Amino acid sequence: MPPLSASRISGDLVEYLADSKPHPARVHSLFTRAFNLKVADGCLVSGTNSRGYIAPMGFSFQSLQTSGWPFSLDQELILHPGGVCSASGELLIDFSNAAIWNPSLATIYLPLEQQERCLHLLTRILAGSQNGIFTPLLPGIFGEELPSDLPLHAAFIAPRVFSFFGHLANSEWQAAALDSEGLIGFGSGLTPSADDFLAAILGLYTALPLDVKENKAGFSLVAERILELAPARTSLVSAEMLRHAANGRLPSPHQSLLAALDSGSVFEVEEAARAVLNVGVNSGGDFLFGLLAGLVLMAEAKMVLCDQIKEIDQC
Amino acid sequence: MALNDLFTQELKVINMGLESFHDELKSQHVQTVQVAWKPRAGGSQKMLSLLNKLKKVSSSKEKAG
Amino acid sequence: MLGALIRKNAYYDSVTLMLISQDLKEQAGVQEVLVGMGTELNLDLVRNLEMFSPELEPVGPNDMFIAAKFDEQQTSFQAIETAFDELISKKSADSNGNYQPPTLKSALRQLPDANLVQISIPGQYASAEVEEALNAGLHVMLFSDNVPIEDELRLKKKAVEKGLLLMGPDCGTAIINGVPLCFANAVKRGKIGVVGASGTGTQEVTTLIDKLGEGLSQVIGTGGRDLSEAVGGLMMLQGFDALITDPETEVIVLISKPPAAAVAKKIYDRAKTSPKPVVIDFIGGDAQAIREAGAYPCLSFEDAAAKAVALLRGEPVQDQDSLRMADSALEELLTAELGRLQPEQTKLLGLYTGGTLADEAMKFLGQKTAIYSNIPLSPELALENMPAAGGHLILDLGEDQFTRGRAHPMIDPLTRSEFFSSRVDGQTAIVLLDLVLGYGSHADPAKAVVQSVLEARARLAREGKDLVVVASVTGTDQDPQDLGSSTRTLKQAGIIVMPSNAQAVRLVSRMMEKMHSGAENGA
Repeated sequence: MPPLSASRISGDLVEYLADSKPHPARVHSLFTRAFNLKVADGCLVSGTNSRGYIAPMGFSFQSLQTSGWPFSLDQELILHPGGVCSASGELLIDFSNAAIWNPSLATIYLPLEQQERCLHLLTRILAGSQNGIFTPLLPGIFGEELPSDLPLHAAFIAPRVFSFFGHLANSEWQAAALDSEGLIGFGSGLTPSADDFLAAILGLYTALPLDVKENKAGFSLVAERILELAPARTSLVSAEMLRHAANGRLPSPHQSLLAALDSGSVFEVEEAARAVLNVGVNSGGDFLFGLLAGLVLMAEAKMVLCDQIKEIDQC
Repeated sequence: MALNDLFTQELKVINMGLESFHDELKSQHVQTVQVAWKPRAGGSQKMLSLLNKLKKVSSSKEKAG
Repeated sequence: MLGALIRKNAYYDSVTLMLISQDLKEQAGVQEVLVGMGTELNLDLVRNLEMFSPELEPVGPNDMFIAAKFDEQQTSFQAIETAFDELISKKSADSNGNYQPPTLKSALRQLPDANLVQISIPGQYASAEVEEALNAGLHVMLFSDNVPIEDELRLKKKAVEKGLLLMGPDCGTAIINGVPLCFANAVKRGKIGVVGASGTGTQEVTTLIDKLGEGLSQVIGTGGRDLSEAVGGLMMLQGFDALITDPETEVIVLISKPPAAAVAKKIYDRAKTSPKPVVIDFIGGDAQAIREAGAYPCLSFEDAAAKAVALLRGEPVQDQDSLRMADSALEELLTAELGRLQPEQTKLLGLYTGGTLADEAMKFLGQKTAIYSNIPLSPELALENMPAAGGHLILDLGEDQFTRGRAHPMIDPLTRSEFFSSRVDGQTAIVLLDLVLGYGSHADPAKAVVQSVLEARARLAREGKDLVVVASVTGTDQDPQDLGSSTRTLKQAGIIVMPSNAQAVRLVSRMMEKMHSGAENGA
């Protein structure tokens, strides 16, 4: 069988493999449209053929390509800059035709009025989507009363979410860091809902411009705490997602959404948000919820990212 | 009229039958659910018409109730 | 009773985890079920609900767990575990990694605000599902064929009553709110609305509108029998009305084979009162009657697209009735292409995947010469009446007799490849074909055609012969197969690619005239 040809590969994976040493790995998990390989040093490398999707430390295939993956669960493999080989050296996945995709978030500058428009739009999309364990909590981030008949998971997590949210809003970073322990790993799904929520907030904060330094420095306390706790308190797949998000790397649909927010195009935001909602069953919704929470925080903290900041940044 | 309302809504599709149609919709980021359709009553026409009758009876009962 | 199980290092995607928990909850006797990764906080929730049992002690964040509370009178944990295993294995069997609800009703629980059901199950089962969908207030796209006409009439009446669309049976093409359904192309959104009873005809018109730089508001399908006496054009009229009311639509195009007289009259009456310009392509229908209704009749799908665009732009409306090629270029092309043929190569073979495009080709070419077909213009031209010595032949490869047991040739190009092998012989001069791109269609039909053409040419080369191949491509550059790259693939293999079926047919007509006169001169 000829090797599968990857169409895109993420820049951080290229860098990771650039030492030209063979990296022993093991097939960690297999899904119909994706798989994860666990490299000997503990990090995960993911492959997918979901259309348009690629994750940090990952690669992707043309959608609809492949009728199955060329390895089985727990199989020993070797990763090297040219691709993925079986233990006996047969090339299973070829990287040589792959275009490099940059997983890093660009800095986002959101003028106040644009923030409001994005808030409006995302709220409408999320509220209408029936997607996300956290979505029933939407009224809460706008300071409104929560419905009395919250679903099980939402009811359980609500006090913790709003405690975290409140501490962030008041720049009480220590307290927020402590709260994160009450969130990591909670919820259904392979990446538990709360982790999707946290990934959005981590991603958003890292993408802010340098000038909101004070907030960024404070927030890095929270981020560090999350990264410290994640390996023991959530699944490996999820812990890796959080680690990437805290370093400003998100999967392609999520990255496009942040870029779209910045572009100011309502059409692009809507399109990108819908693509995010298509990830997983609740994952996309919980990410959007996190993004909305982050946008509200920005607005409340008067983190007005105006054009002036942009100029300073670019100097 | 409901028809023109459709034109102002986001299209959300339930697909019953060829799964490739479902995949195509998903690839366009349209919300869609695939039904794992199997002939009802194991494909027996007689059972099918019986089932339909039963349904009619129960719905007319509901209305009457 | 409480029960729990752990699957060590087991990874299921989120969709599976969540839907399995939903399904387990619906098992008789089950009061509550939690399914998830064994993280500390998920266990907190389990404790909070007083569902923690000792089996959960060893769970870790990379393990999946199920915790259940159930009524031991009605079920046992073993039964729950068995149900779980069954759900998991059923789920892994399905091809795209998503849980699939078994009925329309359960699908609606998963997507409660669904507004359209797309049905392509075997026709004999379709009516019941359509009825259920309409009762639930859902619009229906019905791709299935072989639905009894009485059912069609009854269900369409119900749809009209409820203000719903029932597109079909046997409806292959629609674009609602910019979303292509079944077989449709990625066209721009815009101000031209279409109601079509012919799928490929609709695809041809909409892609040509796109190529001319305009877009579509809504494209509504009706199914091929809608304009018959029996069904009475219920859906065409319903769609027509909707487009008249739709603020996005400025020009309306109606496409169908010639309707029953009574139905045509209803449509003309409606056209007379339409405040928006109406273009009607009744493929060979009564042009005079259409004009009298204040609408614009058409000579071809290409003509329909051009007229709709002209009306939208306020430009003069002209008939597109000629081959758009400079005389000198045409002469050069004819000489070069026909020069490669041997004198005994005289026959035309049309291999169409789009039935209405085959029909369009026959209506034009059949004016001058007899064309045999499996969908003949008149009974004496039926395929089985073709003389043993051969004749001009145009086939609709999508008809039932050719597709039995396999997919439509727009999905499975192998059918056409087989016809290339069996029907192209030493008498064949020209092969005329269509390529229909878009959603639903095969991922690379151009490649399959090129392969067939190369094989046929290699075969003929042994007798010192060659083949002329003329194609048109129904598609846009935004289609998954990409119009531009499909066209290039064909051209690189020496296939003449024309900008529309009408243009391809007109070129073939000129080729046949030239061959005919050449043969006469030679004699």
